[in-house]
Amino acid sequence: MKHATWRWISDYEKEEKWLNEMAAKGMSLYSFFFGKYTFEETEPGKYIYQIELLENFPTSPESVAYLRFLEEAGVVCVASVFRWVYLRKEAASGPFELYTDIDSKIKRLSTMKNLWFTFVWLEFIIAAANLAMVIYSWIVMHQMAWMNLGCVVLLVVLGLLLLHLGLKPARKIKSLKREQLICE
Amino acid sequence: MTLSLEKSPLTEAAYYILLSLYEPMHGYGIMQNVKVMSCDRVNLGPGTLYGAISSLLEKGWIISAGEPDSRKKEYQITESGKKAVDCEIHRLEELLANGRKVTGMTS
Repeated sequence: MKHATWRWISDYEKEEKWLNEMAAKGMSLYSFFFGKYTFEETEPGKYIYQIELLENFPTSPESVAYLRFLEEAGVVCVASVFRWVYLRKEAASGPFELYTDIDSKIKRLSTMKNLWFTFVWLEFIIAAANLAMVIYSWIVMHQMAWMNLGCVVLLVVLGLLLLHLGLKPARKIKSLKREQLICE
Repeated sequence: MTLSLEKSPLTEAAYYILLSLYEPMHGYGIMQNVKVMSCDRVNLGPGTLYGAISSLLEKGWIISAGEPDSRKKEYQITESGKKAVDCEIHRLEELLANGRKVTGMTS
């Protein structure tokens, strides 16, 4: 039996936690596509899930080689959206943690931080361009450019949300780096 | 990291991967081997292992061996890799000797 649920979760850690809670109840993620999660019924706790952000798109040779490597270790990619992949491994074959040392954990977090911050910059640049239009039309044409103003507000709100997402890994990187001074 | 290659300490992952590859081995084999060698203490995550293998290949400390087209890639240590392991063993010996001298602990 398959069950579909719609959900929007922006924080991948919360998403991962939710997927693992579902798997523990016997609902294992089977496919994902932009907010639509499809679960299959399995025995409770059969799989452990991890979400990863690849450095390249899943179809690139680098990612194909990596995913094939993971398959060897019993890790299967059940779904992908852009560079995000949903991975699962059978719980019976031991714990599932992709990254086990500080170095590689930092690398993973940096990939995430960079992704969100790229979008943050993009948002704010477009917002600034729109704001310039608003000011220009107000001063030169004595008209309120409501459309542009709306865009500014929307982009700033979205930018702040993305900033929030990007600051999380940034903070973690900072604390891991401090730890790295005394241990590996 | 541009520290001179043979002088900087190896990570635990790199050290154990290099030791494993004195015999040709594929990725999953390395994971198992490291686990056994360290009596279950070191459990390399596949992501960490993949990153370490890529860096070691780049440095020329290991090469991929065996059939290039087979699904399971095998790796093997090179001469410069063995040199890096030797240096690491010397470094570890120094650490151990000093530790024992100061604390008075014997094995």
